[in-house]
Amino acid sequence: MRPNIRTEADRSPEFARWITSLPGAEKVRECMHCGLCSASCPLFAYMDYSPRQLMHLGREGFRDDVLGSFSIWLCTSCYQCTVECPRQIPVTEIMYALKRRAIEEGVYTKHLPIPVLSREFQRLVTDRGRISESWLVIKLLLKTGIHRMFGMVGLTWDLVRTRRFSLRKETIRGRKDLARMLEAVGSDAEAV
Amino acid sequence: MLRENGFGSGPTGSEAKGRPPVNGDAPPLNGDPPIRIGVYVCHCGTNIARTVDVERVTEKAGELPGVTIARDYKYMCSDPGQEMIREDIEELGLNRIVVASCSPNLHEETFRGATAAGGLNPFFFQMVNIREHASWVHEDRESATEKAIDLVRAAVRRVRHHKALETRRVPIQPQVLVVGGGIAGITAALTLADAGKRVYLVEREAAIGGHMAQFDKTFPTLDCAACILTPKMTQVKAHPNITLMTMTEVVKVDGFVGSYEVTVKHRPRYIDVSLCVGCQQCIDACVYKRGKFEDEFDAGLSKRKPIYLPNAQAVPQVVLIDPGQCIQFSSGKCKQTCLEACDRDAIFFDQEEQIETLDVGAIIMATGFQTFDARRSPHYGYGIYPNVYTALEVERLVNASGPTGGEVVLRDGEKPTSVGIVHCVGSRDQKSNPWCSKVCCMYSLKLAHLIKEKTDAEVYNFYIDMRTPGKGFEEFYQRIAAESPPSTSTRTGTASLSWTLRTPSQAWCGGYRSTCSSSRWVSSHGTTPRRSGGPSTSRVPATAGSWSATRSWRRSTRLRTACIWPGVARDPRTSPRPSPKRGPPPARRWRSSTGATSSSSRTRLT
Amino acid sequence: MKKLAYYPGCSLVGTGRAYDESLRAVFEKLGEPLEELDDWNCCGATSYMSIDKAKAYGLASRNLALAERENSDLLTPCNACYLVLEKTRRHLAESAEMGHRVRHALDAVGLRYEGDVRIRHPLEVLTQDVGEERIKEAVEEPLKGLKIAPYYGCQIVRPYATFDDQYHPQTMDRLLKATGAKVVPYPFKTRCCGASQTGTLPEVGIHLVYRLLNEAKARGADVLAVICPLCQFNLDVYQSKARREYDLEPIPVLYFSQILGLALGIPAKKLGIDRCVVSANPVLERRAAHAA
Repeated sequence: MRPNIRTEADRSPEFARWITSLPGAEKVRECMHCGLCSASCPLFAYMDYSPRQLMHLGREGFRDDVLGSFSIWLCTSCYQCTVECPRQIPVTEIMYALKRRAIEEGVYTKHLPIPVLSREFQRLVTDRGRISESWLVIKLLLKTGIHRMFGMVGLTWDLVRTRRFSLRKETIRGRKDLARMLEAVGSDAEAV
Repeated sequence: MLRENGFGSGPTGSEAKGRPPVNGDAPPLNGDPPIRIGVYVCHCGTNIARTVDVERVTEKAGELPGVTIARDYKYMCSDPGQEMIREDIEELGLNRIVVASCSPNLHEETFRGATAAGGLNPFFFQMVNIREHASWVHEDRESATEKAIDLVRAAVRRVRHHKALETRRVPIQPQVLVVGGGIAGITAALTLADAGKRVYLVEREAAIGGHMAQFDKTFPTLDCAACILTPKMTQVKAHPNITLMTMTEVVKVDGFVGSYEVTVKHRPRYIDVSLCVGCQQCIDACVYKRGKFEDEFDAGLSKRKPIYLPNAQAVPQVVLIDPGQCIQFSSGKCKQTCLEACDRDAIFFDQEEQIETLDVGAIIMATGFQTFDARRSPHYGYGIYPNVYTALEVERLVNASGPTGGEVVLRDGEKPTSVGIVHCVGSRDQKSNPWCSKVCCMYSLKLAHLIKEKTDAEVYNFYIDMRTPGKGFEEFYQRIAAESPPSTSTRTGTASLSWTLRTPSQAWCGGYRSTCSSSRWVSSHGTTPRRSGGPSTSRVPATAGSWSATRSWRRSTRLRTACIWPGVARDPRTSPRPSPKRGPPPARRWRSSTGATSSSSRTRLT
Repeated sequence: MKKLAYYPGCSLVGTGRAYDESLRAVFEKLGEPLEELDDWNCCGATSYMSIDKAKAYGLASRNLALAERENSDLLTPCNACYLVLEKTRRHLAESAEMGHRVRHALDAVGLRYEGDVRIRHPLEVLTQDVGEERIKEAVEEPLKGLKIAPYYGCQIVRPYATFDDQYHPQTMDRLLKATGAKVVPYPFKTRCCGASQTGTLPEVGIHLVYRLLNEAKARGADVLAVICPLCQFNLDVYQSKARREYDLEPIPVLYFSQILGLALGIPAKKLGIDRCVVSANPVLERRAAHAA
């Protein structure tokens, strides 16, 4: 078994520079490891690396550990860490940036439904301008394992029973405008 | 580097070099020797030279009218530097000296000495601060150099107008004013008084003793606080050289070094201090049968009447009346039972504020600290949940002379079974106070010990870093950690600890997820400098007398900006613990390769 | 008060339509009927931000531009929409580069955004513009004896504290008290409900849901009041799952607007009360009992 030791060779100075160049993230250098981000995180118990560890690993440039971490996909953007941080590190925004980079580099665990959800969500919105929840879930299930559909039967029935289920495809009139607009914004340059 | 103009000063010299006379440059008066200026530019190691092109400054200075010689040197304040000035005065006949280096605060005296050593009047010297005013505050080398040149040019223009001055000794006021009657002010007052000085000790509150009077023990020796303090308070009262003024504030300071005129305001206490003997008959007789108002000395943990003694060991042992609470003041229709009970007729409802002027030669500021208001960190629940305490409240709770006689009984009437002490509340936090209080770790450990001793509760310390930098402090930490290993669940190493209290019954601490059910939380709060009620102390000049009080002053000003206390915690759980059919899902091993996860909830690093 | 353009967001036309129905009914009853922003689009929520930041800001900014065209502020009931729109508004004001890119893109479709739109939440409008006094006067059927746990969720108070206290928000508490109901202390009022994790990682999401529900029960609440469609979905629709895994009594989860509507005497049907998966009948019965 590979000992759980990282060496200088595992570090990517480029990654460290990138993290600390994110807006507000230069404060990561001031982190004093109080651990409040982790302690306040409602999902901490399920994480492989705690938010504090992620900030530290990121600042030191351990790219593979950070981008391969499960924790970044657990973040629900509740902003508890951001609000608690005594050094005012924008932890949630850094989590977003890590998710984007992980997707860009394709290093996330493929069967993980969370990035797939993000991707499908983004496609649906880009195409139609609005989200139709039922279709989003159906697409998600198709991508991440149709067998999960069985677990959803009761829930779907509940929704149908309470008249909350709909297969209508929501859309907007200005679809073409929206598409042109998003085209004009251009793609993400992380420099912003 | 040496730049010598090879001429004297004044218009003639300039014209000889083809330069027009500089407007406004007064030629030397009839009969006076020509002005010959030496300019010395200091590198201060790299402090100045890194940002300011010292050689260019020297070169430019050498071209200024009246300048006979301009030199730069690594350390002007060193022996060779000073010697250089002395030699130049003697050999080149300099009669004015300009040194461009650091702050006059630091070395003006030094260079005046060097000027005098060369045989000149020491006031024929002008200092230019190109460190604090140029190199340290700028990054752009070019602009910093330009600024340094401008500053030097101004000094050269100025120094030719200097006149020979004589120093003179004048008598100073030998009396000293000490502001603040806490342990620092008391000690200062006694030391001075024993040395034969007259001391005015001014205290804002009704009794002296300050915060220390509220404490049970001191760290790191666990000495009895009262046993150290109370004899000193008595000495203050009895000392023939000390005039004690309680309920008094400084409102204005005029005058100058060695002779200040200080205006103080005596707030009315509605009791004649010279008559009252502290028999407390008036308190018993008050129309309020029981205490109704929060007792400040007990940090609000007990109640008192509108007429009260500040505390049992108060010096002076004189009661006072709170006009905001006394019925006589609010309605004018009290039966005045206190008046009847006082057989010394010491109560005067018509007392008024009095202003007095004191002449002193030195002032010692010992205004102390105030604790951080833990309500400003609402996530710890202080002021919301009854069993969250500040450290000062706990000090009273464990104090033998406190409201519970030293027995730790909580607001809900119970004894605590477990206690979490949260460090750094209002410290090291950009949202409240960015600084470290310096004392919160130590008094938290002290409180941990006292709580443990008195209740045998589980005590958890939630800290970021354990900072124990004083004499005997680290040893104290080790002692507390060793005497009850399970009770201080701190872990050194990765400085991690923390607390969450969204789930009131749980805290993440010391690398463990610890479950402290039905915990009571103490918060260690930060401290800030004591703020004045009026416009007074902030305007006290930062120079305090010609004798050695300056040192104490410096120390006390530092204290004023460095103090902070710790103090509060989060939500104590009052609802029943959850009873899942199945336990909460364990932290799953999402990725075994990291080795960082474990299914045990007691091994997670935060 | 500046004109308000109502921005329901995708959930409120989907599974959260009861929120939409009850809000419209409440505002109408108070004499301020809602006008929907014409042709609004999805705000992008957290998911879009995880894929492409620039496009996410572009997407959200179209709504700001539409509102500005109508010279209105945006009234945004959904927590996620509220945060995304507020964040976009701030970011466009603070980041010159992003502001330029987005304005350029809006320009391409003939829209303009100068930064003159405030993002407002119904809680803010009801407590500040309408005022509790007016609501108290309008209450026809006080909910005496009903014990409510107020749950705000996360993104309404974090990271920006715009109109309420970040740690101990009070606006909903005040509105609910105005109905005559009792508001129980609920320390989890801003703790995360698990968001989309209930669907993507059920074992994680369901546990978070369980804790919120259990705490409300333990505090003696009859009903949980929420202000976010996703919170409502998680706490209501996934409640049966949570109950299968943990020992938990059912507790109805209503939008604050539904509770307010009941107090204002609006028929339950019109408030979409019957759209709750966990039956809200106990609440209705209590009201009926009181009326009788």
